[in-house]
Amino acid sequence: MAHAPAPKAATAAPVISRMLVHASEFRLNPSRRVVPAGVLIIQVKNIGQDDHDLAVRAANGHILKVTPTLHSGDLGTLRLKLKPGRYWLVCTIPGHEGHGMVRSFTVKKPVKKPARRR
Amino acid sequence: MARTKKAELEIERLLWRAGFGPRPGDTKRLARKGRKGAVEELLRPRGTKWAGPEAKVEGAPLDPLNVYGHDVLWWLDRCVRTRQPLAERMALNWHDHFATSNQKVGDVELMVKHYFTLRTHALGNFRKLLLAMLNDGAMQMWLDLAGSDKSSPNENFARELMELFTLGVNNGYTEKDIREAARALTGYTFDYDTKAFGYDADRHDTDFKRIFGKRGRFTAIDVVNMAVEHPEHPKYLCSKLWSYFTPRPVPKATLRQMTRVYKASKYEIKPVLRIILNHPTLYADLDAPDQVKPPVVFVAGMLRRLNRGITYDSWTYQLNEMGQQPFYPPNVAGWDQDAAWLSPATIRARFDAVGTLLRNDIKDGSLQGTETVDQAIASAIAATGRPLHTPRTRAAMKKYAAAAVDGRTDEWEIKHYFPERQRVLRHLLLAGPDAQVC
Ligand SMILES: [Cu+2]
Repeated sequence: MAHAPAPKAATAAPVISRMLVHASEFRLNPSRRVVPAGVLIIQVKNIGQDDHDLAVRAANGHILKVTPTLHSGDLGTLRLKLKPGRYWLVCTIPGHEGHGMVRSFTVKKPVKKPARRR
Repeated sequence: MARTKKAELEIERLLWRAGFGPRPGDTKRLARKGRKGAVEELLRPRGTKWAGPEAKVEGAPLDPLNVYGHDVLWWLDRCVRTRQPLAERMALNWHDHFATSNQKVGDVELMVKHYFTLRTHALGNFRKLLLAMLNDGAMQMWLDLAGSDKSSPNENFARELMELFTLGVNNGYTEKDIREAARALTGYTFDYDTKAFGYDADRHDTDFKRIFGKRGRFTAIDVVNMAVEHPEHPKYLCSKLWSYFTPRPVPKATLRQMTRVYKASKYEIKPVLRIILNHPTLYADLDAPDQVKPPVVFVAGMLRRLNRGITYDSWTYQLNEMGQQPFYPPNVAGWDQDAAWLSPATIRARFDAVGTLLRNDIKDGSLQGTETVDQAIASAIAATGRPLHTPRTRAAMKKYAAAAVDGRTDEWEIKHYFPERQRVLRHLLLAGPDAQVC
């Protein structure tokens, strides 16, 4: 945002995409599976009974970011800058990924045409 | 003059009960058509245009699927801007009736589709609405229809179908009917990975069932039809519809008339609404309203009257504190209506929400120290779209308006207390006791 030393970047505002994830036993349900490269803000709502969290894992297995533990009803937010590639949303609470709390999503090169509104 | 006044009061009443209150100009325009003409216009909405400014939060359009809380704003925005108020209000009423919550569904896309199921059939045919519900993804998840298998049929949909959707608690069915209906309702599937809903004939129980005293190899569609054709259904549904428009009990003869029309029309919703909306009960005691506005109606009505749009997202949590967030009914039975809307906490929430809305309207230093009490009150009434208020409120406003600036003659006092008086008067008109009822 403001810290970029903008030499010729007067035109391109950074692409900020949003994703909403609902977490419950034992499921992660993201609102979209493809996002453009750039900044991604992920909100995660725990609609289950148990505690959960949400992490973004890169293809090399590294956890890029993880929310604090979210109790039932809590809302968490992650903000990441992502390059094109495949990533995974996972719950890092022991055993939860194995029970199904893992979903992949794809980051694509942003296309030049203006984002479609809905 | 008195006749015009009465005609306008009737229209105002109608627009609140059968919609979300008037937009500027609505009351006068419809008063010319008369009560009956106004009801017909509501029953036959034409044109799909929206009125008023489009919803924007931080300058951007709403993104209900991807931003938490925007789903609530999205539904609220439709109530604020609709030119088809009865259809939109009925969508909200049906949402209360079918009370499906994203709290369990966890998928705004499915919930938005669910909204359109309600909205499409809002003034249509109840049997068709119920059949659409049977195939609605959010509903299938909400009541565990998706995944219900002949080896262990889930009874949730069958139970609520009878208890809440068509017949009423313990009204003309047995536990056995529920169990047997649940068997007929098996076979629906859902794949979490592909988000695909389907039907698997191998998972459906094809054996004989006995429901409401009849025996057959009933399917899901048969169950819905049998529930609608059950002799107790018309009375139940017509009473429920009545209750959305007035807190007063339905007269026996009117209930008979409604059920007759409902059956004769093969479960059409409009003819029943026509009877309710033309009924004298709805227009009783025009100067002493007795229905509490549901929170969504309270908020949407205020924005409609002021011709404002949604410009910030606080409405989401404020509606939660008032006790009604669309897409999040509290349980399968929907919201408790009427007086249950009002508690010290929810009244406080309504009051605070109006405070947020008015926050930046009048700046200190913007009013002259020569403004009289009557001018201040007239100005507040005009700025709030001339809402109905009782003589008692008027007297209280007068008393307050005089006291608020009494002895305030210093320059800094005039700068602050005259605008403050105007803020308080507007707040009182939009959030005081008169504003809670219709
Ligand atoms: Cu978890």
